Amino acid sequence: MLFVRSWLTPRQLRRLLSCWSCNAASQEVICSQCGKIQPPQQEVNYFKVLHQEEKFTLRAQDLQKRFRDMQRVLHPDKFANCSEKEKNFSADQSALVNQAYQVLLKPIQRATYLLQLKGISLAEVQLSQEFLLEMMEFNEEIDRADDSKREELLGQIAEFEELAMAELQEHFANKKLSEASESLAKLKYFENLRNRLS
Amino acid sequence: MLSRVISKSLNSLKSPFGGQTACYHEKVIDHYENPRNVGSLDKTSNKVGTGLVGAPACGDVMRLQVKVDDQGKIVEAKFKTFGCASAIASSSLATEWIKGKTVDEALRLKNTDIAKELCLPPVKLHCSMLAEDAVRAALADYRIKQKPEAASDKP
Repeated sequence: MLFVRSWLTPRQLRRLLSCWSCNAASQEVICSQCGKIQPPQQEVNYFKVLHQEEKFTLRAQDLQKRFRDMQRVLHPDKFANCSEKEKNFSADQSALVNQAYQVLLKPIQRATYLLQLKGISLAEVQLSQEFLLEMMEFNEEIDRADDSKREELLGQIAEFEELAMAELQEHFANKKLSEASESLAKLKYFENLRNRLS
Repeated sequence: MLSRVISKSLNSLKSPFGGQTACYHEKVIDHYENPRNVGSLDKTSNKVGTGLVGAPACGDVMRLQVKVDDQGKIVEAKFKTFGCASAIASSSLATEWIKGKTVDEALRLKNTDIAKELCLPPVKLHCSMLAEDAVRAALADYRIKQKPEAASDKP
């Protein structure tokens, strides 16, 4: 380990591996030895931040509970009487937990993040000409639609979304990541359509 | 309706960080608010080439069409883009540039030229690439239609 990290200064190394306050080896948010809050690690994984398994299907209740439990401990309000250093760490940790929660909570963002962790970018998805034509025509229909037609189109989009979301879930469950990225790209289009109508 | 769409989209230009507006260049805003050459051409015509491309990461879709005369000159160019301001501006600018050019000249259009002219930030470079792809797709479609077998199908 020392050899591998030899380009780091001893101080940086210590910061990476141990508690800044008591020097105990600690990778936790709160040091298990002295109970001091730690700065966020350099490379974060939102699933790890919120102690979730790295997969698409999450239990929203578990996620929410974990988020609230963590914020109860990490929130800057809890560090009002602490040193500046601890206040800063608390602000960083709390912001990170917030960010992780926002991404993992929403299925589209969670799926995008999960694929990103696997090195898959949505930009590489090849959508068929048929699908693009359908999206172009749907957008043009929105341009022409009156209020009642808009309601009808919203209903259609909800159906598209439901179908694509079920597909996405299935592809992730079967570890078919390139198919998952295609379903996700479609969901992005549907989301844009819905945003134009609502 | 249009103003609603625009004001909504302008709101979305705001950066999620600290509520500052993203640094869109005034040229992007200009093309976005007054897009040139919006519309469509008859895609069944032999003189019209149509390119339809998408940016799956953003959910954008762009259609760009060219009408070419017998001398191989692009006499009309139209586009319709549903996407962000940069994508709209890129396609609007692309139609302006290729109008009056020959097919060969138009094929030399580079996304980097579009990005430079519109001062696109790195995260928006893909919008200019989308516009280049759309131009190439439209010109390729036109050329396919010009092949003898295609021409005999539809005089």
